[in-house]
Amino acid sequence: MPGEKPKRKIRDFPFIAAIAMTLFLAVAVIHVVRTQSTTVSSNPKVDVKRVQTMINQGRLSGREAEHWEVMPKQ
Amino acid sequence: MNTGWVKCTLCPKECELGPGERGNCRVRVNIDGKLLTLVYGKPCAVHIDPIEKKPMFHFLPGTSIFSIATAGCNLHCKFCQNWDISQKEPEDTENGDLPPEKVVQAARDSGCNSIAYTYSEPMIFFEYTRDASSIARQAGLKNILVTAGYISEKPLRELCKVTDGANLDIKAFSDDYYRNVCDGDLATVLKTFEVMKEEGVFLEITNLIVPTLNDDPGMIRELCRWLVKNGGPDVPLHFSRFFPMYLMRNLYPTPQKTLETARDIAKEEGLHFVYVGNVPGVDEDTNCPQCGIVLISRIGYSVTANKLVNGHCPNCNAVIAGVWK
Repeated sequence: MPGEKPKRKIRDFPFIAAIAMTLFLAVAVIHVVRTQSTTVSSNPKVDVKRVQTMINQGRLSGREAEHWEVMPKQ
Repeated sequence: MNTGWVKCTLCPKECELGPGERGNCRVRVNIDGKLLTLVYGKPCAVHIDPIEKKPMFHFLPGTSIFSIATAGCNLHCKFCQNWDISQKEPEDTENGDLPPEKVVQAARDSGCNSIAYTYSEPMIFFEYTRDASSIARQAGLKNILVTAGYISEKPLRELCKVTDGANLDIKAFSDDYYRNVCDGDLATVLKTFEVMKEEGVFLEITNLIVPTLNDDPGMIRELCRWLVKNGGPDVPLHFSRFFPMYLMRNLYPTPQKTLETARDIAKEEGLHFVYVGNVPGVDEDTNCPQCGIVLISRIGYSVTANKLVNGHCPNCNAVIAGVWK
C-alpha cells in the first residue's frame, strides 16, 4: 500500500540492542575511570588562553595568591 | 618533584588543583604550577551604602560605608541573594580597576570613614581585603567584613589584625544544613566566631531564616544559647527575612510571625540586642538593656535619632556594646 512503512524485521533488534549495550558499557567505563582515578580531577577547568588574555588586558589580576603550597605528587 | 599541582590553604576546602584548574571559589586558579588570584584590585561591585544595610547597628550608626566586592564565593548557598556575582567566574563579571590604595582614596573622597568588604565573600579575595584594610587603617578608616566566615584559621588571624568589625553570617545551627544547602560546615564558622572575638573584632551576627529549612524554634534556641555562652549577651543578632532567590524560588518569604518567634526566643535566652531584618518598621530600634529606653531609632536603613552619649545610655549610664566613634 502506498505510504506504508516497511515492517521492521525481528532480526534487526539484536543488532540495535548490541550497539546500545556497547555504548552503555563505554559510558559506564569512562564514568568509573573518571570518578575512581586519582589522576583525573573534577575541578573546573580554566580557559587558560582567555584568562591570560584578560590578565594582559588588565581585566583580571593574575597576582600570585597567598596561602597555598606545591604538591609533591598527585 | 614539582608536578604542577598545588593545594590552596585559604579555606577548609583545601582545593587540590592541577595545571589549568580553578578552585571551588572560582577566583583562584592554577596557571603553570602557580596559584593566582584573578580578582586582586578588580572589584565587580563598588557602592556607598548606609552602614545599617550590612547590617551593622552597633558600629558608627548613621554613617555611610564604602563597599566593595569581587566575583566568587567559597560557599554555594541555594538561596544566595547576590548569586549574580558570588556564583560567577570573574571572567564573566564586569570588573573595575581599583587597587587597594585607590579603594582607600575613593572612600575618603566620598566622605566615608569606613570600608566594607561585602556582597559576595571577602575571604576569597583575601589578599585584596587585607591590603586595602591595612592601608585604610593607616589612613584612619575602619574596616568591616560581611562574611560567611568560611576560612582557615591562619589567614583569618592575619585578616583580623586589620579588621575592626564584622557581620558574621551563621546560616543555621545545623551541620546538615550547611552541607546540604550551603556546601560548607558549621564547625568552621563557629571557629571563625571564636577567633574573631579573641582577636578583638567587633561582631554582629546575621541568621537568615528560610521557611521549612532552618526555622525550627529548637534550632534557633540552640544558636542563641551558643551565642550567649561564647559571645556574651551583648552580641547583636539580626534575624533576617528570606525572599525566594536563585535556586530556592519554590519557597515563600519568611512569615513575620516566624521572625517574631525567633526574636522572642533570643530574648528569652538572654541576648540584649535582637533585630529583625528585611521587614521595615519591625524591631529596628536599639533599646537600653538596663532601663529599656530607646537609644537609637531607625526606619529601614536610616537612623532617625541617636541618644547615646559616648557609648552610654543617657538615662542610666549603662555601657552599650559597640563601636561608636
